[in-house]
Amino acid sequence: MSSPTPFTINIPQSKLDAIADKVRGFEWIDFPQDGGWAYGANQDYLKEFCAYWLDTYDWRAWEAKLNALPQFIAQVDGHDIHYVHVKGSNPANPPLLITHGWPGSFFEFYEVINQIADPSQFGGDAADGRDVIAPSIPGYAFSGRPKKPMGPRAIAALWNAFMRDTLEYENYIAQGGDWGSIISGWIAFDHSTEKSGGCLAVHLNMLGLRSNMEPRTDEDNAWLQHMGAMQMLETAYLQLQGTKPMSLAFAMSDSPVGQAAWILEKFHTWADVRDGNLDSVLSKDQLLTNLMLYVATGSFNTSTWIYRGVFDEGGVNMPAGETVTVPTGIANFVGETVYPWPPRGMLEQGFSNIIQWTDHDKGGHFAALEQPVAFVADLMAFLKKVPTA
Amino acid sequence: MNRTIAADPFTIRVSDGEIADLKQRLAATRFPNEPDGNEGWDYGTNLTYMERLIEYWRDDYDWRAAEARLNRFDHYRATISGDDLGLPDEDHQIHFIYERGSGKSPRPLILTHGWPSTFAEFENVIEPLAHPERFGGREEDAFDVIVPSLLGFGFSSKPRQPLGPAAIAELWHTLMTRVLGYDRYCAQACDWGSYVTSRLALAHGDQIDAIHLTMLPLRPTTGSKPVTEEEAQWIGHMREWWAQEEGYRVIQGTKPMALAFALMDSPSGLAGWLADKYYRLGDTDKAHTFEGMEQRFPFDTILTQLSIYWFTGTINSANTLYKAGPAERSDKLKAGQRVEVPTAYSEYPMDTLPKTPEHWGERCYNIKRWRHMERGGHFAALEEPELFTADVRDAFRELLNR
Repeated sequence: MSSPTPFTINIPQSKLDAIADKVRGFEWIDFPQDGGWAYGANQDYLKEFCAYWLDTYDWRAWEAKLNALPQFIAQVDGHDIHYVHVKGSNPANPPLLITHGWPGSFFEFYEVINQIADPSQFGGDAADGRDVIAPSIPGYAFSGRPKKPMGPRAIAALWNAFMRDTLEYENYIAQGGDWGSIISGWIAFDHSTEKSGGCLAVHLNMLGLRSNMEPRTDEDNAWLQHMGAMQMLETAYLQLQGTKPMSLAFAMSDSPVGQAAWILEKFHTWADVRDGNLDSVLSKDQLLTNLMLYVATGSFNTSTWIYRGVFDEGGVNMPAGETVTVPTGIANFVGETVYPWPPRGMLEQGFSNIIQWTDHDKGGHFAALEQPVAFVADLMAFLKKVPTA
Repeated sequence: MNRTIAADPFTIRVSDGEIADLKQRLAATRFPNEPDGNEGWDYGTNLTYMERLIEYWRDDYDWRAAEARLNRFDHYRATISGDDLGLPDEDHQIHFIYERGSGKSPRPLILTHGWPSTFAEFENVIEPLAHPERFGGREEDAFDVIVPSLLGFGFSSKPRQPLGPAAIAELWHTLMTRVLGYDRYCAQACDWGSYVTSRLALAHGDQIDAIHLTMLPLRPTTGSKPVTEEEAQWIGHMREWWAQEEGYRVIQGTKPMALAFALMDSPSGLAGWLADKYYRLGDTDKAHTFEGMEQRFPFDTILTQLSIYWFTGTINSANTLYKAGPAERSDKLKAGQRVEVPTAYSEYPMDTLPKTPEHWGERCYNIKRWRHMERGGHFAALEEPELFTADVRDAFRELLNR
């Protein structure tokens, strides 16, 4: 374990120029289209997006905003881990480890980190503050590139070591959506204080780790049916990234516009875009900053490896008959339609200590970015309920 | 025999500017890194292979030579209206090679390629099939050889709305009967071409003498007959294999436009997307990372295929066949339906897949001849042109009693 080294983002100008050249050189052609997003990315939106990228978007301004968050790189079990680490207003509270997913990044939390760390700056109570740690998953953004795909269970072990041995926190609370949810679920399962780990509690905003859930009610069956339909229509990216990431990698690594299309399709499908207008939910500045953390760091390929890692690790089911017993908070954002929460009773087959369940009528998969106010309120309410060790 | 062709002569001619643009893009390629343990292409396309391929494409590959070779054939483009065939109202340009056979009565034979292939797959079998006497065969085995580009592929047009194999079969029948004036003809195919050919045989069996397939795409209506133990085992094995391999077809079948922008922007991306299909489906020696691949598909061969996709900008319109085909349910037979046209099936060894049970094929086709080929894979005409030619010639001689 090496001690953390402060880190400042500074993408070389030559790299930014090379990206802009490729975006500018993209040859638009008339694809046969239905005018919407049913076939993938919508070309009209993508054209607008690329024009904004070239003419208006200012990476350096966003880089400065990101650099306002204190960042470090530490070596944990041979992996260079990049992370945001903000000291909170009340060190007596256990810290929060908040983990992003794909195709997100630590940027998803840029607005909410300070609100959680020091609520007094945002009209809250300093006593509710705590340290917040937002790492980049191995293979993402400024973290190192693993030599081989790593699965979420292995990353959970890495995170526990990171929190306890590198950052020297005895206990912590884990939060996540998407891969962050699966990683946090494994942390709660494998590294609870009960099992001599450091995890006190877990807060999730997407279904990740689960038991072999048996349907018992009509609602349970309806949910299963919905998941079956979603698997048919919406999980091709997962199937591909989980088996042959290298067949996709050459195209994505070589084409910033191609990466934009692949990633924006997911934002459009997974965010709560009920009016069909992605701009009404997430600004192009937000989408571009997140995208640049893939394009400018050359991490698209390694970001997909976790899908292969989870296949090789054996999936997202906890061992039969066992459950997550740490206090659990569930944030149910209505726009999470591809991976929605099952009915509570069904989920409780695997999470036996749900102390908070909140339904939100707005917001989707990228809750912290889409609905930061509701996300923070939900999380802060949960954190107050967690009994301190 | 002189025929008046209701189609315009066509010559492949890529501009110097397009070639220069391709080379420039190849020179600016940004390669991905690779996980440890990808020597056997387990994670998809191998990086070392790609670095060698892209370098060759950029520095050594001679498109003009390939273009001249392909232009030794007579090419045409026929305009066929979908409206006349009960398809969406759109005029399609169908590109095809037309090589008239030797002798007095060559039989017309339409050869249809699949994905990720092109009409060029058949380059080395066209002359031997049309002029057997020049290749040690008998003149009476000659065919008039017709090799079209699938709709949305190569030099055929890109449909505004993707069309599936049954619709393409209607275009083929129009090509063979109305454009070329044949009353009866034979057909041969693999991959998507075998869907088209099977649909052709179902819809126009009264005008088709025989078909030869190297893949059997039709599926019986489930529940019509009990599946045998041998069939059940084979189906189970196919499922396992596809679970590892089907990422490409699932994405192309659901969200082709999530992928299309990258493949249209990056020639190396296009190569990376397609190369592992050749590796996996071809009869490549997989004991080596790239030697076996390069032996089976020399760079010049695979790069001609890739260059056709690149210069025609057809990767997306080709990929959307994976959306149009399932939408048309073109692999499903109705209860009691079967291809009654005499069918020859030649199975080329493919990867680790076990041999198709004969009983399975006979549920859907009137199979008169079944062969297990000793070598060659999914791209038979490209991989083993001599074996392929001899087999096709023998099969039709047998089926047509000639």
